[in-house]
Amino acid sequence: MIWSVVVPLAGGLAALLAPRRAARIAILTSVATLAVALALTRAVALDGALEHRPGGWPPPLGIRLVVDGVGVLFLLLVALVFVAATVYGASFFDPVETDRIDTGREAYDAEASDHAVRKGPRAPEGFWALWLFALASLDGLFLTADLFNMYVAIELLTLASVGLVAITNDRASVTAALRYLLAGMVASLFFLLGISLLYAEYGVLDLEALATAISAATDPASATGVALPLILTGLAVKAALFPFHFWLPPAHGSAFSPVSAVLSGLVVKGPFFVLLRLVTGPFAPVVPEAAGLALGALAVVGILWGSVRALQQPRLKLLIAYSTVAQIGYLFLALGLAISDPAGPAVRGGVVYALAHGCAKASMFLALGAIVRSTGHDRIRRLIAPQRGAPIAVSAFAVAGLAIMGFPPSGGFVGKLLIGEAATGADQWWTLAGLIVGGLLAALYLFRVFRRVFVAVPDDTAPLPRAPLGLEVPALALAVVSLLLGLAAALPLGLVS
Amino acid sequence: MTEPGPPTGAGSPPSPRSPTESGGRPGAGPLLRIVAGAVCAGLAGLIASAYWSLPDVASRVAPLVEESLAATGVASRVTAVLLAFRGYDTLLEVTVLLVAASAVHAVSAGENPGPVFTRGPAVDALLRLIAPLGVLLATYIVWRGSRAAGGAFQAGATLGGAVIALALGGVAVLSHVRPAVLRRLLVFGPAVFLGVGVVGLVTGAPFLEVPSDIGGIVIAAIEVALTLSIGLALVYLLGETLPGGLARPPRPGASSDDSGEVVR
Amino acid sequence: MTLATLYGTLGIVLFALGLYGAIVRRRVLRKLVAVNVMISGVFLTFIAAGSRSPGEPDPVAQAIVLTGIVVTLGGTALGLALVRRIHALDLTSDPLEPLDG
Repeated sequence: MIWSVVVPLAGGLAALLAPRRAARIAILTSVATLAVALALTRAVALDGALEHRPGGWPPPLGIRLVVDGVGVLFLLLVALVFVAATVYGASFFDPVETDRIDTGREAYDAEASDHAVRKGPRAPEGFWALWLFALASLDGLFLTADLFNMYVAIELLTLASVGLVAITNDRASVTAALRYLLAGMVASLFFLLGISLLYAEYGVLDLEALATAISAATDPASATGVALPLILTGLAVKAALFPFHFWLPPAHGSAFSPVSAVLSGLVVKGPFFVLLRLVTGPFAPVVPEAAGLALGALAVVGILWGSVRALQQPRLKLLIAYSTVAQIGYLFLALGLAISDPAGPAVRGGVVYALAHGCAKASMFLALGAIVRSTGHDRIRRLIAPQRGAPIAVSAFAVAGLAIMGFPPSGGFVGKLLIGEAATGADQWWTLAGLIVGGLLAALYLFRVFRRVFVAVPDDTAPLPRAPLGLEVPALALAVVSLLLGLAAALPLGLVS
Repeated sequence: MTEPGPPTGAGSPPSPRSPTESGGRPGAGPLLRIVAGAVCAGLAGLIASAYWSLPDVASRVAPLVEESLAATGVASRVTAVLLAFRGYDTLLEVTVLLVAASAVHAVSAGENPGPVFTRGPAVDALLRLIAPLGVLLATYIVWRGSRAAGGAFQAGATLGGAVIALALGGVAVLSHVRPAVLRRLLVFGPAVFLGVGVVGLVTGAPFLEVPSDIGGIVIAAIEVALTLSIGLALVYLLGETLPGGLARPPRPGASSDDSGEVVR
Repeated sequence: MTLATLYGTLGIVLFALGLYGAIVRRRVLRKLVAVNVMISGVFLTFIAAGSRSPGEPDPVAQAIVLTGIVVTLGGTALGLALVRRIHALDLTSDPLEPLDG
């Protein structure tokens, strides 16, 4: 299982060494990581959870890596989205060496070139190394069962993500990256202070040893009662739960499209997964039910706020970014419900929703990049019939949009259904209401786009430049996966329980 | 051309506002100050009271370190934790440095305000001293790291610091080295570390496991390799954020006359 | 009150002071400095957590703080590079100017 981390780490080093062949290295590495994830899925499905001890030292002394059914599903999601986004990225960036030093902005301004074949930006130096290190840190985060190792992995993920945002290298993206970095650093420090209090109380960092110590403690309320909210807050900021979402829309809205796809589809799931592992694992006996209610309440507000802001956005990319703020709410709804009933359908609902959202949201950002390559802009008001230039991407956007809205038979539908079931079981009518209203609002802001795309008649019939297939096909592939997830939900659900 | 975004970036509320709007004011309004002050004070009180209530328990891991120290082949406890027991942490940590260095390099490529020190007898004497002293000190720190406080990070910091100090005085050591060689040097330490880990995996042992009889030598080799890479990563990290652009310096040994000239 | 408790408390106070600065200060450079005050506080608490019983200080806590220092150094350096880049992209701006609060 350690290969899930070793392969992308080695790929990242290779990409640093050979910048000219970096795109090819990245494709090879992501495909190899997918192969590792598939082999792991098979192993976990047959034998249950697996464990690995780097260095061979026994647990409280060394670090333990664990992969269970939920973990392997996330590894699979990460590998799948990375393969699609890497293939996409290889076409997204202009392979031809040019002496342009801009990264796309100037040509975007030049609307005169509308009907020329649009070229992509040049891949910035170091892009693919950061890309593969982000993959390695995500996989590392989904594997680790050690508190401090979680901190290191999450920090590696944050720095790689910040770097990938900043690499666009214009004022909007660098400012967004700086804000992302500041929020991320403060959040990590909350997390780390919580860890240090736990270490002071129990003297261990390994999750299993911590679980034993917590359930054996006669009075576990002393430092744990303070450490827990610190850890929850830190990870909630990293996962962009309302009201800590402020860093997300500018960062996701100003990055390169393949980067936005990975950030929105995968990176915010990292801290969510860690929270899920902590509150259903070692902290299960000490998390107060009030914490679950508080998370649920923030989640509902986040769903409504994110959706309303998405409705107001003039640019499609920011609309998708705000939609992520809303969708993170669903994940935290599931998390809140899982705190009061760890064995209930909430965990399964949250996981399926995370998988569906990961594929669908990544697909939307990839499709958006293809559409923009054709139209030259993403102003919703002027985005009339872009299927003239990017027909496959537009259909991918539509299919992924259905999954985001939670239409049957998409994976989003199954996830919401399970979360709704958990809410009914817990008699939380307001959670259910948030779930339904959020779905309606999602339909509203997406149909606002669809209306432009499918219904509005263009006033000029001039053909748009065709987006390259390398941009359109990966978007469609991920959209189809998000749909299939609903039809074949039994497979992932079987791994969770 | 493909990336959307209004040229000003001020079209929507979440995008950064123009500096004039909030510029000039050094701090937040009084209300925010009071609220933030109260929240932070309350937080400190809460955490501190929880901290005081803790019983005096010893770490459960520390005695285990004592027990297994002999099996690692190193004498220093901290080094044993860093490179043996929690070596996987350290591998990710070195990767953090590489990530940060790549990101810094990507955003600051091409900027180079030139050296900052005005050369004179004192600075010249210092610059002549600093290179041999840095190398000597770094070697000593690595060597010492196997027995007591010290190790790759401290040594790398010393080495990187010497290079940065030289560049601040206009002596750009790294400009004589081809970028491809620098890249290899940067990747060298992490690659050795990762390679050691994979050797264990291929032979059927866990990742990063080293047989205890050669543990001391292997860890020493990793430390030396890491020292070089960490030193260089720190130069990339801090060098390019300091004036003086160390990776692509203005002109080797340039005097301060041409400071301010931007040379790519 | 043992020395370790004193250090631990000091660390917590530094953390809170840094957090206050990170919230209240508008200039990015000051925010970064405030975050670094928080960092020192957290590390002090961690070291203190490892030395609360008599005898040798805990090597695990020391190693963890060493790792943490390197990780946070990476973040701080990246932050400084970003501040510099913003200034380079927009020369009319003050490099110390606030981000949108």
